[in-house]
Amino acid sequence: MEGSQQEYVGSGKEKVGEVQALLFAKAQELAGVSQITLEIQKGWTTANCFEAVMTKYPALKAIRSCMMVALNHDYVTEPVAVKDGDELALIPPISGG
Amino acid sequence: MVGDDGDVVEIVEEVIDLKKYVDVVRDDGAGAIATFLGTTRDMFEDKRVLELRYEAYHAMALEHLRRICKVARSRWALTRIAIVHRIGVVGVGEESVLVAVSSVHRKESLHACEFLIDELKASVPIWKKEVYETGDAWKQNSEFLSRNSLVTTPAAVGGASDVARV
Repeated sequence: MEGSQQEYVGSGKEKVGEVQALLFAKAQELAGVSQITLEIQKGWTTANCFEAVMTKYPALKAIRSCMMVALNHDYVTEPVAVKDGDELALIPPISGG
Repeated sequence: MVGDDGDVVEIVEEVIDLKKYVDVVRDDGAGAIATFLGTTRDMFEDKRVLELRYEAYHAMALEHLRRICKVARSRWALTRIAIVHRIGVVGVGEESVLVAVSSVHRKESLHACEFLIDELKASVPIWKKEVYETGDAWKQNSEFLSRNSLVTTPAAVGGASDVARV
């Protein structure tokens, strides 16, 4: 999506770093943004990041059950700890080919 | 982009030139070159498709393309591999994806070619939107959905099989 802005999601709680969350295809259309900077807290996993994005952009709940999550270019199927500088991506069903 | 094995994986915005990539995998020691071209259709059910718009998660897509090349090499004796996916607007009837594989004998490249396009559709993060005369729709590959049981398993909270496993 051209002209997609970046957003910042902070909690005000103990911040231990930032994760960049990338949105593609339908997820990007629903949220209206392509990249979100997430403030992460101690002990956070990919699941916490995912929920933080859902909370900030409730429109994404329409497709939450069909999205995969990738952390630093690897699909993750169970919550994985995140750290400062990680890149998280919300992957709606792919359709290449 | 050329990997350790000389495999070429690319995401491009221009028309895919078949001859160029056939020459990329051509080798005097290879007696076979198998190619697959994916082209865009003009109809979806009863709707006329005007054009397709593709987008990719570039870095991850290139990484996973290299991975599926590696897996193909672990299964078959292959000489060279080239995989190219076009993104942006692709007109009806034009190529959106190309797989070219060379091998000493034909069976290896034919099997690998089919494997590579199947794996691309199952695991490489690229998306296609069909634009109709009225409206549009993001498509979903059945290969991706079936591998991940996405209908019932919420993402990021566990349970789905590993899409990167091949």
